[in-house]
Amino acid sequence: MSLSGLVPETVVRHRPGVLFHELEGEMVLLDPEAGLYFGLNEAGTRAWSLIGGGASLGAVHAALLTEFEASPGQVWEDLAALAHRLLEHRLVEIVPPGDFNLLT
Amino acid sequence: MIAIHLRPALPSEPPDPRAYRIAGLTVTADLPLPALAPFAAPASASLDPVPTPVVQDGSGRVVQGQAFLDGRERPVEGRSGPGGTWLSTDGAACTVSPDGRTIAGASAAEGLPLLVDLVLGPALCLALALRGAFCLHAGAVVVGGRIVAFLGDSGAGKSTLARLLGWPRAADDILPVAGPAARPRFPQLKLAPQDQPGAGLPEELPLAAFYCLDPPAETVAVRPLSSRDAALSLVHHTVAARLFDPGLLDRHLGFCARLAAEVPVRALAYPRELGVGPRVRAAIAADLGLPEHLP
Repeated sequence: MSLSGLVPETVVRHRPGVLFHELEGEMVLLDPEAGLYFGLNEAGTRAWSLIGGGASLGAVHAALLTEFEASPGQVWEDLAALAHRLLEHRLVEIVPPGDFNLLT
Repeated sequence: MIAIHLRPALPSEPPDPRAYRIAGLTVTADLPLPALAPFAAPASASLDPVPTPVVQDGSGRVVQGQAFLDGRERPVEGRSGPGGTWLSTDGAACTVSPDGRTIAGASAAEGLPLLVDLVLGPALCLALALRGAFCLHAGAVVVGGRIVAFLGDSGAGKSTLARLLGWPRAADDILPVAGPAARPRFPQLKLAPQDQPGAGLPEELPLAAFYCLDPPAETVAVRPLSSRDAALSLVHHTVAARLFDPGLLDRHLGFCARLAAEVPVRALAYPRELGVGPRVRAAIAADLGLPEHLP
């Protein structure tokens, strides 16, 4: 999926079965099916936590703006790039619009 | 206890059970294993009979890997299923039970050396992991009563470095770890039985630090790793991790995270040249806050 396919209304969620462990504000992710490990920095770890709560990318963006010093455009660009990589490596999946109510 | 059954490969051999102390556990075998002779258990060790498991072909997840077996690198296939994990290479095969308490092997008689290496290599490492002790690709030395371990891929120089430093060696290639302690009594299959560095050591020694070997550099340098990168290094350098099922992978990840929080993990860069041993020794001693000439 191209970065342009991600919009603030997009909701992604942790793909079931993906393991993760936080260490001093950073995160190690594991896809047990692929046997691959990934590391997230502090900002990525915070985004991962917010995604796990069912927030839209727009809500995640708003939260990150209050916690990290960067322009809104830069934060969105970094968030979209992170979401794209997480989708690419099948660590997250996009929630179909009809499933939104299941997250409340 | 871990029970190794090899007699199915040699049904005409009379039973001759032996017991060994490996990585803090009693390992029994129904045949003498010369590679484990340096780790023979006291004569009073229990040899409780264990039902001989059936060696069977797993039908689940398949993984491919490499291991140094019977003198050279060989491809190893692993299949996991409800009955355990089946490992096979070049005509030798064995099964590790789901609880890691038994390893059963099967091969033609002429393939016994390869089967023994398969059993004492990836199979034993998997069994230990299932029992809570994870094996790391590490060379190691003893410094002031504690283990200093060097993590690196094959060919990175961990064995050579351990020899150059002048401290007593504890491991050549594989180091079992349980909690914040190392269990150096483990067969290093690339070394002869009489050259096993862990044979004369205590069953458990505290860990002082891990040093991940960086690519060759112009100067000797030690730098700390973040907790995340430290955990990832420990994960990356765990033996037989490809064979872990999702449940064991989860436990392994938690283990590496806790270990990274309890034991310093550094990156170590140094030039691969003659005479570098004393400089690296001095850098490690300084990093650990120890006298350089501590035996």
